[in-house]
Amino acid sequence: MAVTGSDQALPTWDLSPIFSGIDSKDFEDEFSALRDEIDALVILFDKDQVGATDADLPSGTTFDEILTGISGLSDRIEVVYAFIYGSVSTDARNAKAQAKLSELQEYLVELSKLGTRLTAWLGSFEPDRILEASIEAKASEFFVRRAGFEARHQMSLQEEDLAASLSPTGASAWSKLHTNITSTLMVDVEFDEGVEHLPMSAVRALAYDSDERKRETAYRAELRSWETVEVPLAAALNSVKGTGNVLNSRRRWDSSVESSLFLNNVDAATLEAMQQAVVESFPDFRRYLKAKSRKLGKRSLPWWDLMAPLGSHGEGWTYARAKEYILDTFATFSPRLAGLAKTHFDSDWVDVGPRDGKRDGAFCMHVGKGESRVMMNFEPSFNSVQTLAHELGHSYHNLNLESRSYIQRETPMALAETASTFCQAVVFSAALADATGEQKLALLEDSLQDASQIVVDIHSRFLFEKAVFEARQIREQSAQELNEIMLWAQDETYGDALQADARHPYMWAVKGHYYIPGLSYYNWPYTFGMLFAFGLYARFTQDRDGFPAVYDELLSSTGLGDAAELTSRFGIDIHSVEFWRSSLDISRSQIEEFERLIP
Amino acid sequence: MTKTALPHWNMNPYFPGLDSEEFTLAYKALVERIAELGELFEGNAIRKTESLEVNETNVAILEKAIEFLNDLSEELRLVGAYIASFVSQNSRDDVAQAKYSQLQMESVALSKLSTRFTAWVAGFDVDSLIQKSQIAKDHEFMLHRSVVAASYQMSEIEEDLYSELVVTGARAWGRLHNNVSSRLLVEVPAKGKLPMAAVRGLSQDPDPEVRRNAYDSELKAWASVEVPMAAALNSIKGEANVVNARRGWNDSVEPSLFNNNIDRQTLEAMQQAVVDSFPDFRRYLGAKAKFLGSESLAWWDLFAPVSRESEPKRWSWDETIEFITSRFGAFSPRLADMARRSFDDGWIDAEPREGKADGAFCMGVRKDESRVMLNFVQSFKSVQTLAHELGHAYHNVNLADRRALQRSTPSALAETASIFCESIIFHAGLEAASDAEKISILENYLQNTCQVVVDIHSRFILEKGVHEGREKRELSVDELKDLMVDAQKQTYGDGLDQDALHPYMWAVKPHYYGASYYNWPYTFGLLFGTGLYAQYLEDPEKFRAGYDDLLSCTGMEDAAALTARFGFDIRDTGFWRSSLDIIKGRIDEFEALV
Repeated sequence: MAVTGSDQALPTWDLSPIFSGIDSKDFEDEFSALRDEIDALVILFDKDQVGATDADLPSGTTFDEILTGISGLSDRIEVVYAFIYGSVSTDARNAKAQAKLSELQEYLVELSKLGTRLTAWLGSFEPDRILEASIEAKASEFFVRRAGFEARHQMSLQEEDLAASLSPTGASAWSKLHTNITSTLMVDVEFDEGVEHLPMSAVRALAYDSDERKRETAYRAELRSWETVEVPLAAALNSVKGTGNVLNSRRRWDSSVESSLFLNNVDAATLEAMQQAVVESFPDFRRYLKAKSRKLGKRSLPWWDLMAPLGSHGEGWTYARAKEYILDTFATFSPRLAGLAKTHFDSDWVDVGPRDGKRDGAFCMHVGKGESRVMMNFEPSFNSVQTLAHELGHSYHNLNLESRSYIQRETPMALAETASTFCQAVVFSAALADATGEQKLALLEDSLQDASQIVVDIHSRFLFEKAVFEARQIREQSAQELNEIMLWAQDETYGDALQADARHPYMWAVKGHYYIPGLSYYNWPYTFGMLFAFGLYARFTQDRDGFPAVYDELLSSTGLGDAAELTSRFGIDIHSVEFWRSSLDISRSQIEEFERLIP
Repeated sequence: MTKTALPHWNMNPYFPGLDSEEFTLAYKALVERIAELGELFEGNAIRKTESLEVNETNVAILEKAIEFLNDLSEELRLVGAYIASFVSQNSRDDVAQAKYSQLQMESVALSKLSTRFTAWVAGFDVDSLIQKSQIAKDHEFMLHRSVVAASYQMSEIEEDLYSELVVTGARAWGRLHNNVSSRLLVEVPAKGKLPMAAVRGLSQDPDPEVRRNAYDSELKAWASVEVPMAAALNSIKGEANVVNARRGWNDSVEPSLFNNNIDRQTLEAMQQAVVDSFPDFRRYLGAKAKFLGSESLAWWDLFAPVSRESEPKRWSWDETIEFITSRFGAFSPRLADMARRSFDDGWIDAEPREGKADGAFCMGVRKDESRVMLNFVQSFKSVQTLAHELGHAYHNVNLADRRALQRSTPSALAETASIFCESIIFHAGLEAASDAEKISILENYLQNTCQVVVDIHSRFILEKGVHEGREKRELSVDELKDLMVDAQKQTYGDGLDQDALHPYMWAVKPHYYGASYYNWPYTFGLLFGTGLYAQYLEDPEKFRAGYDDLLSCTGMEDAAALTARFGFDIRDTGFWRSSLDIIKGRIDEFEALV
């Protein structure tokens, strides 16, 4: 086919090696086989009386069959799920796939119930005795010990059951109210050219516009608009956090932070060390923000300039060039990484271009046996190149987890972004080394804008969330009080780099993360993910030959231990502030370069 | 003659002020008493226990617990009423509001203990308890009721968890409804931005264009908040479904029957008579439409005034006191004495003013003393409202010798005395009125009655539909609107213009956002009170002899037993029909006059 220039078709992915099609017999067979497998596993769970128990220690083979059973079933469901989701995400109108997706939800509910029973069961015995008795348990030692710990933080079966039944009309309904209100919110924006009626997401996207008048107008319209819905949103936040307090205390968590640490396999000392380094870096990020102010001709930055673009990436980032660039830069890390990227490109493991019916954004999914597929919406920009590198990083992580069973692979969010951020850093460093002038400015601005969000803004979110949890112990907080807490949190973090009368009191209404039931502090793990990857990258620059093997081994172990214990095996001490400082040094050196460009 | 200013109530006999040392001490004592009760319960293992022995020890524990709960309820009533007296006078009183929400949090502990007490009592053979103990005998009804109530409880630990989760669940959704509607500002043509309550008040404006504009603006405003309102309704009803099922209720109506001490047969008999009466109410609506000069009545004309008076009579406060006291006196000196006492001792807060709550209510404070709040506007309607609230106060007088656990009156019976007093004043007013005055007095009466009989039945249908639909999944805004309009068609029928109904009534009424079916007990109260008044007219002497005792027993017998004292059979549609016939007579009169 003769295609030229920008009309050149971008590749779609090939899912046929997984199943021949959503209508195919091989898919149908597997789908109905899974039904039988679930039923069989339920029977096995009943037979072995898997659940909280006072009974004597079951035999080693009992543990073996249960653990292999759950892992094997989870593996197969994951593949089917990936295949269906892959079809839906690239073609929303695929009714057959949509129907299968909702059917599969039921499978997932049953699987999660089995998971809860398994946790309670494992928690009923001394972990050491289980590990002694069962080979499979020994192979998944971390999973077993973790379940024992988790079981100690469950309420009684009756209470857990009631809490689960009330969640759809309680915390989950409040969360959905937040989503529904924010996604249907229409804003009148008074541009110089006239008033426009825009969805909130479009108004917020104007923060990236190159025209300052537009950014400021959008910001002011946005704040006015949040005020009109502050009553239901404050009620939602109060109720989600109030429910969290009730359940945390009944589950015997000492603080609201504790359960999020457990979910991420991170201990309190690690979080403390990281946050100390983070707080120390604020003066540096403020220097970046002040330099940006100077560039924009101001003394301090108003909120609406935080995302303002600087410099220019230049043109010519076609998909062909992106592939080539990624192969070259990945090769500077290791032939294995470059080889994986090449397989993705050659075997159509990437769905590249935007088209009607395909979802937004980008993701990578594991389709079994360490193999992955990447979906993105490629636009000819350097930003897309970084996105592609990021998703390929996830694929590389999956490749390294190939030899692990499902329960050995379960990676907490704090470690799930390690490989993706690392690959982005590989590409970014290469690009920065080559760049000059406007291009260099654009690269540094992108990188620092991102880092400032993840280091500075996210710490403001952490401070805010903690303060709300504490205040909610005593009573509900009005919208006005939430605004005040938010402004305080921004002051603690951005400090004088932000213009005092142009901050964003309603960020608590913006971010959906505050409203996820049972998942508190969905913020610091982002910081952890980025800084941990930066720290690894810093190591790599010190030991280019030795590091890649260590790195592969580390990625293959992300489900095998607590973060601190895992990393210490590789000589990395995440309990030390020093480690996190070295990560932040990467941002610091970028800030210095940025300042040099803006005298 | 000098005019007396509209009174404010006097709370000084209780405490000198919210921040006074006396009140602080009483509040502190109350909190300590709740903690003590908790210790009493822990120390004596008062919680669900199978087959408890009726021996001296256990009887002594029971008596102690009953006495404790009784005393504590009196303290709570006084402190709660005192705080409420400030909140209702000024909704922006932050100190009172904070105290109020603090007291609600303290009561969570008490409600957990009450649940445990109920479960514990059910472990006994109540009949032998009653034989062994006079105190138990005095609380016979409550004890028997506890046995049934306990069979509809979840396990203690689940009830305990639920009492904590309901705060951020149903109760928070209820408050969301309240906060969103009370802050809703509505743009009305030619009037500007008004609070929703004021816009809904415009439905009583004499100018049809004002009413129409208000209706249109109101609907638009509800549409702007339909997302949170629908979420609140779906969540409250969904939560009730989950909890009802776990407590073992067969359907959503059952708990409201139990709470009102009424059986299903009674409700069905009443609703049958209600549905049979719709053609009469449609005649009333048709006559009203004719009077207003339209073919059929639009929703925005439901509350339109019907009057032939050029200048409606204005009731001064002195005249009101005189009228009520003398008419109450014609019923009994005891009722008149109480009215006089309420005027003399500062029981009444009548003056409308900025920040004061809407509407009217009566609250018992201590012993036989009550406080009444209303917004008096010198109309005959206001006089009736005052009489209604004083009826509640009279009910409290008759309950004064009962202990707290004997007083607990369900909402279906709580309106008995109020409707009765209102009837006295309505009849007196009607007798004294000129023809021109008569038409507006009748219109007021029928407007209100139509709400309580017809509209309330539409609310029952809507609520049942939501409960049933929510079993399967959440209902969309469009589905809620369809259910509402459908319920209005089933009840108002062709009495209303079918194209001018109110699809957002589910967002308007706060009753949907609290306990379920807070609607049919109003109909019960009205029709029961109306039936009683008819009995009174028939044989005043006999009626007077039994009335006070009836009121004193509303927390000690179920509705069927109580009403049987007057020869009523509330399980029989005939009883309800006879009350509705009295209303029908008024409709005939109204039709003849217009």
